[in-house]
Amino acid sequence: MNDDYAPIPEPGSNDRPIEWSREPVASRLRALADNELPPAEATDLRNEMDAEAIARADSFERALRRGCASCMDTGAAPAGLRERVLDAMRAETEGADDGATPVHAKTASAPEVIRRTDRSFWTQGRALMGVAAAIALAAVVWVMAPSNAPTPDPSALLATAAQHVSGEHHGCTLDGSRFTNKMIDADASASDATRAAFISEQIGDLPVKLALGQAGYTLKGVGGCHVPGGKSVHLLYEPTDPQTARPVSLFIQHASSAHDWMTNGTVYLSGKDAAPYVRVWREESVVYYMVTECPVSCKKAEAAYALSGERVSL
Amino acid sequence: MLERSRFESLALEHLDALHRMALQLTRRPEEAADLVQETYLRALRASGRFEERGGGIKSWLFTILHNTFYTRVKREKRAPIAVDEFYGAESAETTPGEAPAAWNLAVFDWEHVDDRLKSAIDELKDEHRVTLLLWGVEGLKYREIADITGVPIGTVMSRLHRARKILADQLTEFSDELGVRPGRTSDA
Repeated sequence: MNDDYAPIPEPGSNDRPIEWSREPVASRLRALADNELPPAEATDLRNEMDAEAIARADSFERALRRGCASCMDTGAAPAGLRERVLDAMRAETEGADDGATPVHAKTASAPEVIRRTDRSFWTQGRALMGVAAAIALAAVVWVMAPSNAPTPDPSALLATAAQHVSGEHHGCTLDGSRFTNKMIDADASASDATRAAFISEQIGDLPVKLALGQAGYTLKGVGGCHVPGGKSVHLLYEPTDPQTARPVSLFIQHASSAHDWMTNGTVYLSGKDAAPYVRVWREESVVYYMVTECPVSCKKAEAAYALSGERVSL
Repeated sequence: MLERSRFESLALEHLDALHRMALQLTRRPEEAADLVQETYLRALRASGRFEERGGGIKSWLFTILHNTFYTRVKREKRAPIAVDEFYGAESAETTPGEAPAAWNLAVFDWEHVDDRLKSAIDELKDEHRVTLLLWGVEGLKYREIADITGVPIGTVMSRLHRARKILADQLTEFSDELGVRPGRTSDA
């Protein structure tokens, strides 16, 4: 690392220069061994202490550093990680052109339409101003009247659900006991009919589409789940080639009145579309949530479900 | 501002180092790989704001990895470290002043301490272990470690010195078991 790299502390930072004279001798000896002790302080220390003692401490600390380096150096990253990172970066670059429309942007477009209408209306002439004012006042009264009964933000439920499924995916992929406790059908040899029966038992008899099995994934487990918005089922898939992809979770939920605002074909994305990647979409009476940590896996799953509709950020 | 190909080439040089740090933070290989990938994606998104200077990209990537990990920890409400310390408050830790007895060992058999040292390192607190890694393996300066971990330089020194004292004491115990006795400490 370059020795000139000495960023100025941020304003308000509680960082401050070290007062070496107030540091214990042991601390100054370690700093000396690390070549971090300023020259003047090093001279003072050498004047204060026996040269042999300094040499012993210096020798030990340098050896300890080498020992730590030897014990903590885990060597090269696993094979395949470089390619995985490169693939993810390529997917990111391609995805940047997709141009998802944030929900707030869509909401913000409504007043814009009203403003345009207003401008054209007011240009009709001053004679109409009184009528317009009366209509505007009536509109304000009408809008204000129900304000005591707060209207829930429909997308907020989906955002909460997206957060929930991310946590469930993360927990089940990393914590074996959590997976075992949740996934009551972790038998990879279970037939599709068995799985379909389990899913029906959990969320009712719905036209559920299971497409990841044909996209390079193996179903690892199925379990009941309580995604906000209704009873759900969680399917955890593992890639057949773990070097190029990561596990994917699919959560299936029976659409309720809380999902009425969702449009068939629209793909809802969580937050800034960073890991964990979450996609939510609706197909008639079924709401799907897909979660994965890997953008390449996300693309694969999107392709499997032919998610090519409009994209909206939650 | 970096060109995309230049960014890839510069950033991927540090893949092994980032993976080492991710392993120390997560202690889980799968999670470490995810963390490394997410770090590169975040770095790619922010590459327009990165100014190439000296070896700064390595520290910059370490900082992103460290912040990404602790953002996840916060989101998942895991608590692997003392949170008050992580969020920048001046550490309440005091720098240990006493010298380890190991400094006075006339002979220290470094050839046979690896397992003992490794288990002692594994038992360190997370923030001490990560600081030790950045210092010992990556060869970073105190100032750089402070910038990466978002704590004052005094806290870095304190963590390093505490970690080294613990390791030195462990090694002293080991040398006692081997029958090698240290002499009188010089500055305790």
